[in-house]
Amino acid sequence: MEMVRNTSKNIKTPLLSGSLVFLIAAIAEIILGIFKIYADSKELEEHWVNAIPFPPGIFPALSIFIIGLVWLAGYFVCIRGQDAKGYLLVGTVIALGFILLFILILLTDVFNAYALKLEDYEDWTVLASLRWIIFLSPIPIFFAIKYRGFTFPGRRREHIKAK
Amino acid sequence: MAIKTKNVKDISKGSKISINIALAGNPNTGKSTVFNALTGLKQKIGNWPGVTVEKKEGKRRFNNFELSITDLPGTYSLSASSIDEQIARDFIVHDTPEVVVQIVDASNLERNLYLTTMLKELGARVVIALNMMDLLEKDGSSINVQKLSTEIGIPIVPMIANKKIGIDDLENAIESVYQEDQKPMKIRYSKEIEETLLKIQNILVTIPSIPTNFNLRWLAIQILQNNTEIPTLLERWSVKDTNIGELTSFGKEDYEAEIIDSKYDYISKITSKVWKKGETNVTRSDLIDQVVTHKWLGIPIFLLVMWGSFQFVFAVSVPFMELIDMFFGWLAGLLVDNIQIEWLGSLLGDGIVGGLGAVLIFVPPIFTMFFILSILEDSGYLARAAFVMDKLMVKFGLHGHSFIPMLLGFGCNVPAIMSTRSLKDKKDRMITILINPFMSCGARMPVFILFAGLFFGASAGTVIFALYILGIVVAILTAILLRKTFFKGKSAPFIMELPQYHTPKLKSATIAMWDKGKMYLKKAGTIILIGVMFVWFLAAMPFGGVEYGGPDTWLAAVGTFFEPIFRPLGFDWRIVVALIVGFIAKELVIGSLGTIVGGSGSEEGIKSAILADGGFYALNSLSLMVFTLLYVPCAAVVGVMKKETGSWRWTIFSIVYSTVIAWLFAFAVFQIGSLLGFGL
Ligand SMILES: Nc1nc2c(ncn2[C@@H]2O[C@H](COP(=O)(O)OP(=O)(O)OP(=O)(O)O)[C@@H](O)[C@H]2O)c(=O)[nH]1
Ligand SMILES: [Mg+2]
Repeated sequence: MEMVRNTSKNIKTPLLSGSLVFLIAAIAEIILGIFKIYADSKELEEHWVNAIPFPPGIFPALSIFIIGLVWLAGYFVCIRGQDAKGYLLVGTVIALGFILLFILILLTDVFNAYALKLEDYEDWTVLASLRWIIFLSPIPIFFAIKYRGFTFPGRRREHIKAK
Repeated sequence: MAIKTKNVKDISKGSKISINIALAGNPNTGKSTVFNALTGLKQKIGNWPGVTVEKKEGKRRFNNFELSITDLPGTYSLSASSIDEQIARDFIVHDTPEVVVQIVDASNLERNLYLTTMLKELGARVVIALNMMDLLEKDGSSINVQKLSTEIGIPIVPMIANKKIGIDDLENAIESVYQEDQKPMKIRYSKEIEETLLKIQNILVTIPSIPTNFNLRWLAIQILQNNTEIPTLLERWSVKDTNIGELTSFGKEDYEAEIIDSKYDYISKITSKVWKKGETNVTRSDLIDQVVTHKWLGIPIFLLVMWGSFQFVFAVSVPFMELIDMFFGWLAGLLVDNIQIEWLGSLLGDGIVGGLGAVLIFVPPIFTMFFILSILEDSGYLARAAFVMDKLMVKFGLHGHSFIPMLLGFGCNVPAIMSTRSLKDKKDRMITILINPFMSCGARMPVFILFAGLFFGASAGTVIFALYILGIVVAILTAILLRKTFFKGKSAPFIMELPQYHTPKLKSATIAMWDKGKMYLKKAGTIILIGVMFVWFLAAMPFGGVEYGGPDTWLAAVGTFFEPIFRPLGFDWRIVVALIVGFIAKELVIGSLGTIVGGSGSEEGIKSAILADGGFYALNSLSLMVFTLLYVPCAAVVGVMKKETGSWRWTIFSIVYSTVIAWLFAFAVFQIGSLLGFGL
């Protein structure tokens, strides 16, 4: 019992701060992403949005947003005194999944550009494929390590078992 | 065991004794996993109830026995209410296997034992394979196997089937059960019921046409329970109508409830003695489900997972596709340039390498897609995604239970339509079958990947994602339409059993990927090869003088005939031909385009050929993708649709309806796009 109360209290602040960082980043990326689409569709190459080294995109931003929402929902569940470990776990797993995915995409882009020398990649630089969520990776990685006991199935089950 | 071995040795050497074995059990308990381990076959395995919908036989040699093993669909009882349950029930009741191996999910003992009581009532010789012992242990619960076995008088083999643990013990248990008689289970019903049962049995023995080996007590219980299928069964044995009338007059609903209660009483008395529950009230599965089936978060998470999957498929496969494309472009050029006999060079270069190459470059994305799908299936997430979407359907006044078949449609619509057999309500099932073709199968993906990749650059993954969503939306709208018109009525209540999460296994996902991907390769070597040769032939005829794939060929004649219908969608005659041929198999849409366009004898691959061709641009390729997504399902789907609906009318309805819908959507895309200035 004791341990559980501790865990619940322990994850309240991390959940809130994690979700706020993600939500703010997501909203910023979405807004910039809309500017970017506008600039692209009007072919305004000189537009200030193109000066951002890491191009914003709406869909990648939505992934950050939803992860933020999951953690935020978990925070409110915590406040009601219920067990929010599931929220922390699911948000973290999705976040890590997407970070790995975007790193993978980055690597294949490198391959396409430098090994295959594809035409589409003539003006491409590594920066163009650095998705915002990659910069946010310290948060889910921190969660994963700190709460490993219930973040990764099968280990130290006492956290999961307790209620 | 020693005694048994002696028995076996008595049997004259060389001659094998064959034992008929049924693998029965509740859904999702691991029957097919056990079946595969025993027979070495590859029945589909998945982590949700209702994977297997047809019986499948396999063989295994063991000592002096030839085991003939049948994997059955899952069933909760022997009074079947859906088609897959009927298949299982009929096999157990009428094919009278000598041994029934019941696969029991150890973490769900009580409900599983209910089926055991029915099997025993039928007089079957039963062995219990107590599977998923690992999950039981994970929960912290435990079962006293020895005690349970003596209580119910059935040998029990603890197993972890997906790790092949316990298979040898299971074989031994089957052998010993086969050689011994098993005592019936001691379930006592009230005096009134027992007396009535005797009365019924006394009548039954006087009817000579009932097979002698049939268990009369079981039959009597069914009659007492008002089992609606009994009259048909008796008729099948040509029992006289007067007898049937007399017998069925014994049935009463109160009896049914009492019989079920007595069984559960019996079971709970036993489980209370042998089963110790872990301290866990809430499992990890529950905690995760709180989130992924959450009222508001469930659907966004599902969409996110889908979007991520397409990004993954795209990212992993693009470099491989480029390499394959380069190779085929080079090969086609080489053949056309170096083979002296012109028509042969053209057949090999333009026709086969052009067309087949166009299909084969999609091996990487198709394989990756299957890989992701089987990870999602096996982890248990697919069932959650279906659950969330089904809840949404219920809100629209539709039925639940549609989305597992729909999500399976992302792989191939044929097995997806078969999987609707587990739906209980007939109308629900018809709707689910009819909307399934709108779910984009793997064979349509090449069209999307090629054109989205060529004309939508970095947003390609998102465009493909949007197309899949469009398919889902059209399917839901069609379901609403059908429910409001042809299939009025209330749907069955929505209850869904969510399986436990398993950590997906890389190895089994890879095997599943290969198995499904192999079908694609096989198709490429057969039907698609013939298809592209056919297209090549038409594109080169009439002999002599005409430019290959030019406007004077027979192919062009066919295409231009239909072209006017498709001009408002932005398609020229070559696309029209590709779409027509695509009815045989959707891979042929790309295959024929490859043959017609890519086969210009240049050293470029199909991608560069299409880019260089004036007939394709962003807007008409978008409308082509939309059309391909929605239009008439392929021949194989039409076949399975006819089989499963049992109706040509609905099959033809589906063909016409989907093609009209496809035309309308593609029309809207092309015309609105043109108005907005995205035209050529
Ligand atoms: N943890 C665990 N998982 C298992 C075990 N045996 C099977 N599974 C998994 O359980 C799931 C269901 O297995 P299937 O063999 O498809 O079950 P089935 O009884 O044939 O299911 P239906 O055909 O739908 O009735 C799969 O994800 C298997 O990998 C086991 O002993 N332990
Ligand atoms: Mg099965």
